[in-house]
Amino acid sequence: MLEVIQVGAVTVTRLYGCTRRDQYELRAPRPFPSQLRDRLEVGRASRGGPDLYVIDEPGAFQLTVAPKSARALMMPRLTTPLESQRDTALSLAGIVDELLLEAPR
Amino acid sequence: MAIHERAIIEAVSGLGFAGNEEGLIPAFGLYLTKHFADYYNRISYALLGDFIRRAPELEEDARALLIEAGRVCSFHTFGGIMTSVEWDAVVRPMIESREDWVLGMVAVVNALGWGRWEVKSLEANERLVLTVHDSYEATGYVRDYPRAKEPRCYLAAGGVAGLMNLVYQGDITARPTFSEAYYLEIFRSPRTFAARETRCLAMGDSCCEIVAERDPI
Ligand SMILES: [Zn+2]
Repeated sequence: MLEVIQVGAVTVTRLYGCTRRDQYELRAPRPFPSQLRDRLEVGRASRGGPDLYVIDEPGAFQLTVAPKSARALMMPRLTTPLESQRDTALSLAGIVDELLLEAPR
Repeated sequence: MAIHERAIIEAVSGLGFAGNEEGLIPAFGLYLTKHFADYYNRISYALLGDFIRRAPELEEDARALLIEAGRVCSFHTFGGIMTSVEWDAVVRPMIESREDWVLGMVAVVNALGWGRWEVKSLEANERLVLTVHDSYEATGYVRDYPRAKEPRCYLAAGGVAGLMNLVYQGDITARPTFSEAYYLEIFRSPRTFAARETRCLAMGDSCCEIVAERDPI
């Protein structure tokens, strides 16, 4: 574990992957809202079912999401710089946090 | 048992594992590759053959090395899978006991195309007997080499020992970090699990059978 960053209600943990890429785990205190997939799918490929799905942006990252477990893992592509990997993870966490705020409890 | 193997296979297959533009398959928090089984087989059996030709007294060591590769592989691969987002979504909700961790992992293996693994008996904390139908190691061996006098599924044997170590010698349920220190702690313990292949397709048996027990040697 390299770093823990809080984005609102979402805890982002930066994990060591290799010298050229880290992995980012996103966790929240309650399940991710169902609207999350719609938001993440815009302009990106997705596959899988409602309990487990994968969002893929070629050249950028793959995000595997377990919404009921309130857990997701971002695996960046090797070609992206480490700093932009972090920016992407934080922006994805921001989307999750925003939807969590909007979703009824 | 709470584990529904078919549901696990369907969910894992539904993710459509395929290489991305980097040639890798990001899955289970790991970077997998779609690999020619023959490539692994040829280099493994060539290594064994070289040992036999050049230093026959080290034949047993060559086997031990290939099985150790399977143990290291399972430590990272099975360890990664059993702590993954995919596991949390698909398998974890089915788990009622520590034994279910073993059964769940076997179900995931059966979604990966390594042959069909089947748990014959599982004695908690003590012993696992598992058969492998159409093991890719033995199938490749049978095609390319004369009938073996010894079993040939080294990666599977190491993998099965590793699975038992992760579940019962270590504590996979506590989401450990897969460091070298943790590997040494659970795989070099005097109580570590070791596996023997008791039947093998490569020897003319109808399927392969692997028995994992605590330090049976
Ligand atoms: Zn075999």
